[in-house]
Amino acid sequence: MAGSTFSYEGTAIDAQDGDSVLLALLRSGRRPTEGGPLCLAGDCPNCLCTADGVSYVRACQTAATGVTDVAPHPTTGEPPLPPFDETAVDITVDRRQADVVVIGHGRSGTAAAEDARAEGRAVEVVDAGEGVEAIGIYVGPHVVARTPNGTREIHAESVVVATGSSEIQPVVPGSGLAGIYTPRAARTVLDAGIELGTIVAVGDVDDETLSAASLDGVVAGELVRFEPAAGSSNVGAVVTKTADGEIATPCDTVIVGLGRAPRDMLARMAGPGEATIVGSAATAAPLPQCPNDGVVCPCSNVTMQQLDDVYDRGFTHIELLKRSTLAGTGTCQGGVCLPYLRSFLADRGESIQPAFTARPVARQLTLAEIGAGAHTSTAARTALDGLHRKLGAQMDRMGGWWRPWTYGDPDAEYAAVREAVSLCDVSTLGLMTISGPDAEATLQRLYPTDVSTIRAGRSRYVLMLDERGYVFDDGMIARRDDGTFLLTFTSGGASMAEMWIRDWSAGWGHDIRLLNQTFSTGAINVTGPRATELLTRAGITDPPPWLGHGKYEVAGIPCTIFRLSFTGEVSYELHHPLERSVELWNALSELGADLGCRPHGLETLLRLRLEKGHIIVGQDTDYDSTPRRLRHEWAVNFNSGEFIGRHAVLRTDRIPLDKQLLGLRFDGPPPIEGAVIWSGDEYAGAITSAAWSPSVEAGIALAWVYEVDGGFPTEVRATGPDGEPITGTVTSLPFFDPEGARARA
Amino acid sequence: MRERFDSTHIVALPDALDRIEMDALDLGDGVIPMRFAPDELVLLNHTGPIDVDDSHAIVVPDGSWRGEWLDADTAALFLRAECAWSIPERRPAFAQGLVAGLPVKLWFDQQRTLIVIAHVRADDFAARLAPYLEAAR
Repeated sequence: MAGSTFSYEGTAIDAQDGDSVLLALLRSGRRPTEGGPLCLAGDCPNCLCTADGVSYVRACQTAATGVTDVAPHPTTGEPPLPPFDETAVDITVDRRQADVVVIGHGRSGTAAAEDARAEGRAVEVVDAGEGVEAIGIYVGPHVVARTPNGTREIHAESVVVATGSSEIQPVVPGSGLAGIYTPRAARTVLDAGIELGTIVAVGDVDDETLSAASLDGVVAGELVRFEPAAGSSNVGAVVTKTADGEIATPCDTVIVGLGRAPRDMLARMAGPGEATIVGSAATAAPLPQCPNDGVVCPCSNVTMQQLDDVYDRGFTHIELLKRSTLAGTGTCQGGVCLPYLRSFLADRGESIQPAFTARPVARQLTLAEIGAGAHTSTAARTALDGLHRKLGAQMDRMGGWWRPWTYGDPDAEYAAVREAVSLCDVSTLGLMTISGPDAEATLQRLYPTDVSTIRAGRSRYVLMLDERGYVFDDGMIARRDDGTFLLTFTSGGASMAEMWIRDWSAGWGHDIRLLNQTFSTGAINVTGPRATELLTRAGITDPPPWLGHGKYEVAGIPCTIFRLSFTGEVSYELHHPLERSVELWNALSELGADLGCRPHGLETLLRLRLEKGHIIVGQDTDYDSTPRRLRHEWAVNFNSGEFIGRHAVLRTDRIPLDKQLLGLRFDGPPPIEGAVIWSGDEYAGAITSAAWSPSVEAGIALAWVYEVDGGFPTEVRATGPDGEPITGTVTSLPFFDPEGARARA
Repeated sequence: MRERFDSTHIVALPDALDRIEMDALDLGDGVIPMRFAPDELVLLNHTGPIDVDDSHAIVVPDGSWRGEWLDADTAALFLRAECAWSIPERRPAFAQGLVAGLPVKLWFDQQRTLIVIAHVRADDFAARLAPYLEAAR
C-alpha cells in the first residue's frame, strides 16, 4: 500500500508506510547514486541524495514520509546549493542538562543507562530509532542531537557511546557497482519485499540472511572482484579465488559478509576521557584482509593505489595517510575506510595504529539546524536610541554601540557646533568610578601621568599603555575627592579596561573598589560657542572651568559635568542617570531651540575632532603605536614613577623614529581613509582619518607617515576620491584653532 | 522588558556586602539582592541611603536595570531553549550568564523567575523573549 509519494527526477515514486527514501527508490528499480555496496545503516556514503534541496542526505536514514522531492547525488562535483528560502522555518533548540548522556538504546546502552540511574545520576538517552539522533559530541562534553522538531543540546558530565557495530564493506575492483549488499542491508531490503533477482552470497553471511535471501548460490573462495552486467552499472558476476583458480558466478545481487567493525564515529568525536564506549562499539574486531585494489574510501574516492603511493613517500602513519589522501575525511568520517587503512598499515609491518578523530557532524544538517539557537551579536543601545530614530537619524554601529551617524544634514550639524550650540549623545563613552585606600596608587601605576597632582575637581587626558608601551586606550582621569576618581574610556574600550584595571590591581595586592558605570550612565555633550549660555538657561550659572568637573542639577536632573572638548568648541559633558537621558535631551533641545541648537551625529563629530587633530584609538592608532609615534609624548610623564609600559617607552624612545602620525593637508577633497600614500615611488604610509574641513577649507587627514630615505617626507602623493593623483602637504596639528582659544572660551 | 527598576548599586568589601545581603529582607518589601560579584551588589527595588560597613564603598543609585517576571512554565520553556547552563535548583536563588545570547541576571523565587538585563541590551533581549511570551498566552 502506498503511504506517500515523492518526486525523483520528474517521476512520482510511491513509498509504502515505513519506507525510507532508499527503500522506496529500490522498490521502483532506482537508486540515488550510481553504485557501491549498500549498508542501509547510515554507515557508508553510497546512498547519498538531495532531499528537498538538502544535499548529502543519507537516503537509507530518511523516512520517505514528508519528503517531496529527491534528486540523485551527482557523480562528479558537488550538488548545487539550495536556493535561499525566505519561508524557512525556525528550528527550535531543546537544551538539557544531565549527569550522563547515553547514545544508543540497544542492549548495552540500556544497561549503561540503568547502571547510571541506579547510582542516582540523571540520564538522557539518545537513539536515532527513537527519533533523537546524536550528530556530534563536542568539548564539554556536549552532545548535539537532531529531533523531528529541531535540535537537542545536552550538557553532561559524561557520555556513554553504545552505538553498536557496522558491517565492513568490500574493497575490490568493481565494488562501486550497484547490487552489492551487506548481510544486514540485504535482510532489510528482502523484508521490504523488494525483488533482487539472482542472489549469491560471498564470505561470512549469517544463516538468517541466507534463509531470507532464498539464495541462488553461496560462492566459495576469496572475493577477488565484481564484474558489471553487460552495458550496465549493476553487478553481473562475482569473481572469487579458490584452489582451483578464479571462478566467476553470474548474479544480479551479491551479499558480502566480511565481518563487523565498531561503529565508533561518535566515540571518535569525544575528547580524551569524555566518553565511555560500551558494547559492540567498544569491541575490537579483527581487521579485514588488506585489499590489493579498488576504492578504499568511497567518500573521497581514494584508491588502494593512492595509499601505496603516499606510503612509499613516507606517509606511514594513519594520520598522515588521512591528510595526504583525504581518506576518512568525507561524510562517513572513516566508517568505511578506517578498518582498511589500519589493515593496510599492518600489512606493511606498521603497528596497528589508533583510530583517527572524527569531526562533527555525523549527518548532513540544514543551515537552519546549524543556526538553531544561535543569535546574532547585538550592539548596545543608549537610552536615547529610540529618540535618535524618531529624529530621523541614520544609525550605524561603532565601538559596539548603535550611534547616530547623521540626522540628515551634516553641514547644518557642523555649523551648529561651530557657530551655535549642539547636542551629541556620548553615552557610549566608558565610565568607571574607582575608590579605596590604594586607588591613587593603582592609577599611578596604570597611567603614564602623575595622578597625585590632579586636584579634586580637576581632570586630565591620559593614555593607557600596555607593557610594550603601545597605546590601547585613552580617556580622562577626574578626581572627585581624596580617594575617589572617575575614569573615562573610549566607546567600546571599557570592558577591556575594566579587566586591565582589576587584573593589575589584584596582582599588586591593591585595595580598591571599582564600579563600571558604562551601561548605567547616560552622557550628553553640549558643545558650541553658545553652550555656556544654554547651560545657564538650564540652571547652571557656575559651570566647571576648563578641565574641571563637578556635580550639578541640569534642568532638575542630577549630572556630573566635565568641561573638556573633543570638538574644539566650548564643551560640557553631562553624565547623568541613564533613565533620565530622554528628559535631559528634550529639556536642552527646548531651551536651546532659539539658540540654533540641533543634534550632531558621528559623521560631524569625526570631522570636528579631525580639525583639532584628536586621535581615535583603534582608528588612528596601530598595534604598535607608541606615544612618540603618535606625537603624544606630552601625555607621558617619566617623573611620575613606575607605570605600565614605562621601560618599553624609554627603550623605544632610543630607537630612531621610523613612522609618525602626522597631519596632511590637501587642496581638494582628501583621499579615502585607508588610502596608501607615496613619497616619489616609495611607500610612505596610509591615511587613518580624512575629511573635508569647512573651517580650513581644505581636505585634511591624519596619516601614518613612514621614514623614506633617511627622513620624513613633507609632501606625499595619494589617489584622490575620483581616482586622480593628489598631493598632500605635511601640516602641523591641529588644523583648526591651534591656540585652543575657542574650547577654553 | 516591561519593568524598570530603581536600585542601589554598591561596590564594597565582601564582608560588608554579606551583611547587607543577609539583612536584605529588612530593607523593605520587594527588595531583591543580586550579588554580581563578591565585591558588587545591586539591591533591586531599593532607593535611599544605606549603611555600608566600608568607608571606601561606592554607593550609587542605579536605574539602568530592566526586567520581566515569568511564571514557572514560561520560564522553563524559555530557559530550556535559550539557556545553555545549569540553573540553580534551590529557591530563592540568583544566577547570571548568557541567555538568548545576551548577559542577564536571573532571580528565582518560589513561583516565578525574574529576568533582569541592562537597559542598553533590553530592547534586543525583549525581541528574543517575545515569542516565548506569545506562546505562553
